Parts: sequence; C-alpha cells; structure tokens
Amino acid sequence: MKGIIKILVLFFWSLSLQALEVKQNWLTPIKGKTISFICAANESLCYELCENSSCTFKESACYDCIGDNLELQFFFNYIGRMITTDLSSEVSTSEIQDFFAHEPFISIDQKSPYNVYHGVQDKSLALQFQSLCPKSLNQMIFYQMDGQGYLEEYRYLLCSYDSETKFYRLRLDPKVNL
Amino acid sequence: MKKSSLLLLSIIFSLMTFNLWAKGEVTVYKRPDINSLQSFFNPLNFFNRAACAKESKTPSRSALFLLDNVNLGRTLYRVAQNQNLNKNEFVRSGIYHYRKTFLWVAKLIHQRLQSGRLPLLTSDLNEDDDLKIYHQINKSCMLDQNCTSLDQYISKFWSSTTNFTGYEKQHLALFKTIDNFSKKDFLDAHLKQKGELKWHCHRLHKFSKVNGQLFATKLESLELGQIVADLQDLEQNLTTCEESLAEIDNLKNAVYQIELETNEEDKWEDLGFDYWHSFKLYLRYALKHSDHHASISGIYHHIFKEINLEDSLLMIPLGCENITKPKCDQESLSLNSIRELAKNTLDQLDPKLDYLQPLSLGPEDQMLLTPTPDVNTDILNLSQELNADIWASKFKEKLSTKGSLLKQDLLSAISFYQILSSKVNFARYSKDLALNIEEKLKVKDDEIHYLCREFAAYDTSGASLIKNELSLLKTKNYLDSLTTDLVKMETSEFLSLFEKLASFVNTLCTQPKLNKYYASKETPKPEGFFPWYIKKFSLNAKSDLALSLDKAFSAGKEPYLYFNFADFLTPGLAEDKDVLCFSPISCARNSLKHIINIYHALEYSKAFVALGDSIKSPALFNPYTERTACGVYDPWYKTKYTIVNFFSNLTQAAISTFTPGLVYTQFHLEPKQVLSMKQLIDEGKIEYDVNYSKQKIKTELVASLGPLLGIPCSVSISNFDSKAMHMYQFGGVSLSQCHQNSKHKLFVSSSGEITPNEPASYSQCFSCSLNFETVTLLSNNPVLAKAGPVYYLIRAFVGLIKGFRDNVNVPKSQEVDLYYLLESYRKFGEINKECIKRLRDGKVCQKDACENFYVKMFRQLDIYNVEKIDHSKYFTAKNPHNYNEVHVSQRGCKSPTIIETNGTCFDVVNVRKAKDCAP
Repeated sequence: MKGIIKILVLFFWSLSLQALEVKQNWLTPIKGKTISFICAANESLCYELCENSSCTFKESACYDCIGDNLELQFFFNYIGRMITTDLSSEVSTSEIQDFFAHEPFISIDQKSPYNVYHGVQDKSLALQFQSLCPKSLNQMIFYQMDGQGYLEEYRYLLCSYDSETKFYRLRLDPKVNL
Repeated sequence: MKKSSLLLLSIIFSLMTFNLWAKGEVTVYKRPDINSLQSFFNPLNFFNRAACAKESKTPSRSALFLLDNVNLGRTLYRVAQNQNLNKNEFVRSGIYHYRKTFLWVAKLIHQRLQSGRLPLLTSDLNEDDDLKIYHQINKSCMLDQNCTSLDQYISKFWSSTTNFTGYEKQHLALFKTIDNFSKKDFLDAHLKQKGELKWHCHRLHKFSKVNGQLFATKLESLELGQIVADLQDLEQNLTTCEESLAEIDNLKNAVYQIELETNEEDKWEDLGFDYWHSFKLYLRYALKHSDHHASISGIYHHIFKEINLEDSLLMIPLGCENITKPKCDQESLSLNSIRELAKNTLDQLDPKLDYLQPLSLGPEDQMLLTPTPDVNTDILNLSQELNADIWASKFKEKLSTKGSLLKQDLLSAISFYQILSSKVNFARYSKDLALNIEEKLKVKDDEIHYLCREFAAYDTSGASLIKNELSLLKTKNYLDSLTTDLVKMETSEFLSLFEKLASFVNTLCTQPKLNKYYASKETPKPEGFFPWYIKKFSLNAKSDLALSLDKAFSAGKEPYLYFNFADFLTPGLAEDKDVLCFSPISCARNSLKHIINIYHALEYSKAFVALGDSIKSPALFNPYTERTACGVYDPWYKTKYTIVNFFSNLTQAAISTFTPGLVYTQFHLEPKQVLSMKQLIDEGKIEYDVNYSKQKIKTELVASLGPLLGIPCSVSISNFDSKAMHMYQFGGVSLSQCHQNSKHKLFVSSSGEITPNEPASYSQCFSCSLNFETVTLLSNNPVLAKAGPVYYLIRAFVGLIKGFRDNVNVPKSQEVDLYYLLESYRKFGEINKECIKRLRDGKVCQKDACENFYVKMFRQLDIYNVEKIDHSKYFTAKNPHNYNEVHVSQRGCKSPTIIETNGTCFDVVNVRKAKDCAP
C-alpha cells in the first residue's frame, strides 16, 4: 500500500514538473478543434511560438477520419514500427511556428479520438508511441492536412521531456532488425 | 328506333347512378376499432424470380437506411475522456444529436431535390453530355479516393439554393454559369406539380409481414390476413423518425425505412436512379461542409463533419428494385457480395464464405457458381430474428470484422514489401536464402519442400492462376490509389521485386542437388503449407500449422527480420507479432503469401474498404441484380423462348400443311454439326410423301423458310437415342442473339476476372439451330405423315400454355396496397373472399364503386378511422345547392365529414372535413 502511495506521489510530482501542458479542445462549436500549449515558467516554447505563456492554434477538419479510414489504420498500426523518427535531427521551433501558422493540421496522440482501431487501454499502442522518444513523458504527432481537410502526411513529433520540449520530423522508415 | 334506344340507355344509366350513390344507404364498418393506416407505404410488390430480375433495373421507392454509430460512439467516448466529461452521457447525447442531424439533413436534401432547388446529377456518365464539367470531374475522380473537385462543384451552387424555389429563370442563369444546366436537370420540371414526390421516414424496429415482399414470391403463400395482423401492430414494428429520436435504446445503430411517394411512376423510372445518386452526393456534401444544421448538431457539429459517411451509412433497396443502376463490374459484384454477410443465420463469419478463403474465387466466380439462387423467400433469414436493430448490428459487425481483417492483410502486405525494398539488400538476402537452403538440406527439413512447392505453384502452368492474378494486379491503378499515400511505393515496384525474388527462388529450387533431397523425402504434412496452397490444390489438411511450423523451423534462433521498435524495453527480443519472417526461407514464403493477400483484398475492396467516395447501396434483397446485369440470368429468356417456340411450331405447322410427311432421314445427323436447310434439300436428304413432287416440296420449303434456308445452323437433336434408327423430323428453327452494346460490357476470362472492354469495342454473337427430333415410331413408314400440321399446332399451343405457366422464370407479380387492404378489413371485419383478387391486384375493395372511390379520396384528404358512411342524408341548410350529401363518421370526431356530390358519387363538388376531432 505504501508503495502505491509512493508511486502516486512521485507521479503527481513529475506532472508538476512538466514543462509543457498540451490541451486539445474538441468542443468549440464555432471554430472547430483547437490545440493549446501551456508553458511552465522554465519552458520557452510558447514564447517562441506565439510570444505568450500559452498558445492556441486552430486545427483543421479531418474529413472521413471518424470511422473506417485506411490511412489512419495504417498510421495507428505502424506508428513506431514503419513510421519512425530520427532523434538526432531536431526540428527548429521556427519551422514548427511556421507550420502551425500556415499549414492545416491535426494533432494525434495515443488516446486520439480518431483511433477507432485499438482499445482505449491498448498497451501495445502506448508502447509504439513511447518508442518514438522513449524518455519523454508525452508524445504528440502533427499530421498535415490538405487544403480541403483530408489527411495528407504525418509531419512532426512533439516529445515533451521533464524540462524541455522537442520536435522531430516523422518519416516512413521501418524500424527493423535483419 | 333511335329514340327508344336512347331512352333505354338513359334508364339504365339512371338506375346505375342511383345504384352507385343510394345503394345500401348506410355503411357501417365492422371493425371501426382498428386504426386506419396513416403512414404511407408503397404497395408491396410480390415478384417471382424473373420479375425480380426484371425489376432490378427499376429505381426503388423504398429503402432501408442502416445508420451505424459504433465508430462514432468510440470517438465520442475518447473525446469525453479527453475533455473530462461524463462518458456515457456524452456518447448518448452525441448519438441522439447525430441521428437527429442525419434525418434532418436527409429530408432537407430530398426537399431541395424534389422542389428543384438542387439539380439532379446523373448517375450514368455516358448518358448525358450536357453537363460537361460534371462529367469531366467524375472521370477524373474515378481513381481518386477523396474527390474534392466534386465537393467544390457542388459548393458553387449549394449555398445559393437555400433561397431558390425551383428551376426559375434567375436560378437557371446562376446554374448556367456553373455548368450547362437546363430545365430538364431539375426534378420539379418533370413532375406535374410541386411536392409530387413525398418523403416518408420510419424507424424500423422489427421486420414483419408489412415488409412481406421480402418473404414471398406470391401472395398465395402469404395470407393477406397475416399482413393485416401485422398492420394492426404497426406501432410495435415501426415508429415515425421524429418519434424515434427519443428512443436511444440501441446506441450501435438505427434502421430507417424511407418511402418515396409518387403518382408519376413513369417519370420515377426515368429519374429515380439519378435522384438517388444526387441524394447521396448532396447528403455527403451537406453533412461534411454545410453549417446549415449546426444548431441541430450543437456542440457535436464539427465532430459530425468528420464522420466517414460511407462507413456509417448503408442504403439498402427494400425489395427487388435498386438504388444504384445495376452494372456488371468488379465494384458492383464486390459490393453485392456482402449479401452473404447479411444473412441472419450467421452469427459468426461462415468459414465457407469466399471472403474468408485464403485463395478466393472472387465475386464473379461466386456468382457464376450459383446462377439461380432463391429470391424473395426470406433470403436473409430475417424471420429468425425479426428485430431490425439486432439484424443490423450483426450484419455491420460481420462487415467490420471482415473488413478489418482484409485491410490488415493489405497493410501487412504493403508494409512487408516496403521493408523488403528499403531495408533488405537483395544481394545479401539472396546469399542468406541460398545458405539457409544449404543448411536445411543438411538436416532435411520439410521447409524446403514447402518453399519450393509453393513457388512452383506460382511458376508452373498447372497453377498459372496465381501468375495471372499477379499480372492483373499490375494493370490495376486502383491499388496505387489505395497505397501510394501509405508507403510511397507503386504497385509495379513491389511486383517487380516479387518477380525477381520468385525467379531466384525457382532457380534455387530446381538446382540438381535438390533432386536427391526430394527423392529421399516423403511428402511433407499438408498442414505445413500456407492455407492458400492447401486451398489451391485441395489438400487434405485438418489444421493450419503453417505459422507454427514456420517458427519451429527456426527455433532457438533470432528471427531473421522483425520490428525492433520495443528494443528500448527488451533489446533483441521480438514478440511473434513483430516478426516479419523467422528465416530467409520464411521471408520468401511470406512474400508470396502477401501477394496473394493483396489480390484477395482488392477483389473485395469495394465491399469492405470505405474510401469515403460514395455511400454504398448494395442490392441485398435481390441477387439477380448482378446476374441480370452480367447476363448470367435473363428475366425474359423463358418468355422469349416460349414465344419463339410457339411461332416456330406455327411455322412448322404451316410448312407441314404444304409438305406433309416431311421427314428427314437416311443420313446421319450429329448434334452440333453445322448444316443449312438448303444443304439438306440440295443433297436430297429429305424423305417425303410420294404423292408430292420433290420440286413442290423444295419450293414450299424455300418459300416458308425464306432467308433462313441458307444460314448455316448448328444441329440440335432432342429425344436423341443413339440406338434408334436415324429418323428425324424437323422441329423448327431457333435463333438466339447475344447483343452486348451496353456501356458495361465485359469479357469473362477463364480465371474469372472481369475486365471492362475497350470503350470502342463491340461484342456480338449470333446462334442458330436446326431442331430435329428422333422419331422411332415412324421408322417403319416415315412417309405416313404422322407429324402433320395438327401435331405442330397442338404442340405450339401446349408449349405456349406450359411455358407461360412457369411460375419462376416467366415474370409474374402481385401487388398489395396496405392502406386499401386495411380499409377493406375494417369495413368487412375480415378479408372478404370477393375482395381477394382485387386486393391482390393492388386495388381498393369496399362495398361498391362509390365507396372504393371515397376510400381513395379519404387517403388523399387525410380522413382516417371511418366508422360509418351514410348516403341517406340529402339536403341540409349548409348545402344551398341541393347537392347530394354523404356523411362520413370518424372515430374521435363529434361531427361527420360531409362530401357533397352532384349527380353521381364520383362527381364530388365539395368536402367539408370534420373539425372537432380528437387529436
């Protein structure tokens, strides 16, 4: 029992240390979905993105994404396996800022409402996301949409670590052993 | 004389008319307690096989909309989780709002189409070239999953149509700037009056005899009384769509029955398919892009826009007619094949289904294997589970399960090839494979056997089917449209890779040193082959051990190729599901298995992969849709055959009149031999009555057969008995012509693959046969002229009667109007025997012609629950014109409805509806 309490205390402590909080808002009837970045005092990301301590960006519509969608099924099945990242090549915040400002996009994490292919508690999927940046607390993926609101290409991965946040480029590069 | 005739006629007429309105004076309904049918339902049409096949080319006026909310529910659950909301409440409310939004938008689209605010967009792209831009867009969209240009096209006029009232000039002007629209592109221009096409919507809870057309081919086997009984319990079986919204008893799905009411059947036959096609396009557009219904969707508005409608909605024609114009193409066959999954007997997927076979036959071969399946005999076994929601849930679940498996196979296959091409160096792999085979030779594992046999199947002519399939894959751009977005690799690239690999494997497998191995080995267990191979060669394998044996062959070794994404947790340990192949041999075998899976997935992709391009409307209740479109079944064949035979016999009767005793004999006829009548005559191979001159007979034959005389015909002989003496009598000439000049003409190759012809090509075939019968009875004296004109005449009429008595292959139908049926029952308290025929002809049957007429009128004027019709009232103070009055009492109304007539009951001058009726 003591052990569990200890783990819980440690968990909440680590949360309080988290430099960045990412919130998706699905229920804004007028604007559609939005994503907000709320930065702790030690996190400069928000200032770099929007010169404020928190930034909100409008997400694109994602047509045909709720329900059977081959592209999303591929994405959720093969994220971490076929769709991977190179942790040595970080993407600059200015590129991300430009992306948020000018490109239609949606955000996807392992509990994304677009995932109708896995159970809510699917451990394998959590592992797949975790494998993208194993030491991070959270992972968020930004999928670029075309101008009409259809899926175009997975672009960036956000890994939020204890005291910093980093972006990486996603690519089709199977992670296999031969 | 003239005067007396006129007098007599006028007396008869007066008696008749008096009889019409005064007969009986007061008609009391025997079952006034039963409610009239206030909902509209199209008449039930009972079609036999041929009629059902024929009707497949008619647009349906009744449809089931199967709205699936499972995936929406999953998304809403996660949204609630994400937003820290009460999950159950949020999901429940979301589904309520979605159903409400869907029904509202569907009705809106109907209203805009029928009132001419939105134009009809044709479903047949070859038919109408006026709308050039529309046609162009459709052609370019064929290979595009997300055809946004069509959405853009609709968006040009969508928002403006809100204020339109029809195709009036100013609106036409706007439409003309968009495309070459004209008056004929608007539905209301074709209808006599606006609102002539009415929309009726019900939520269907239970299938019952009110959907009787699905359960019987003729009314004899379905008593009218059963329909009446179910009509009395109608509220148990269905509710109006508006009322149904409050019932969120089933979150998974809802089944709606849509009835379109029109009196202009001819117009509907011309425009119905375009109506449905346009309805689908606009529905999809509106739910995605319009904000018109934002207030109905509420906070869910943006979520609903993202629903893949093709995945969540099935529009199923309720009966033999169709929503989509039948075509004989891969897409339609694949889509209609899901009928097998809709069968209610199957709780689980039936392993015998072709979709589940490791090497499927494909929907074309499936169809050819069962050319004449049952129809309208509850083919989906609905009577086993009449609950519509449960049926829909089971059906959709099976559809999703199979779809998911199929897509998983497709994704695994293309991922495998992506890895092979980007991560595996072919030179290195070739070495590893050769080495692996060397190792296996030493221990004499069965693995080499499995590998080489499977690849031999690909390469040898005996199993060339697989190779054919591979070559067909190359021609299918469709696969590219599915996968290039995912793996950035074109079909041709991974097929080339496979061919390179296959060629290398076959070289290794045919090297001389393997001969010893083959000779020393017994045939391995069939269970070790992959299921496709077992199926292909019908091996007697009791279980599927391929995967476990595959692993066992490399036991103790690190898998040859695997996903190592979880290396950060347990380096070097891959779970089985992450293993791509255990050994180089296993990689080769898997490459072949994946190719077969891709082909399989493509064959049924239209049925199981929702591409967001169009809402599916499979002909679930009519298996003759694809059979008629593909020419496997001709609904008119028996009719034509019977008529041709009839005339053929008549002709023969006529010939026999002039050429009695005409018998062909003393030469050997072989079935399928090609001859012409002229040849027979010229060669003098005809025996005839000696009383007639040869020349006369020849002249008569030439005159009778005319141009047919010289046509080379295949000989067909009935009653063929090889032991009989070669005596033949002429049974007539039959001609048949296959003429395929339609847009959807096809060639069916031996592999069962259907490929559309080149647009310019034209196929035509023609066959002719000289029909003979062996006549053993005449052998002693062939010139006795037993087969004279009377014989042929009798045969002609017997054949005609017999032919048309065919209750299966000659189109036959019966029609029942549910409203008339129930009113007749209310009136008589039973199904009156004298009414059965009329009711089965879809007609009204009350006491007399007047009341028949009134009942029709009651329906139009919404006068329901009549208890009494009183013809005895004549003049009242309210009737200053001295018209005759008929008082109609209704249950729940204090005063009667009054019909004023002038002279006869048909001449209605005015109707004063009762105003004090209880709601």
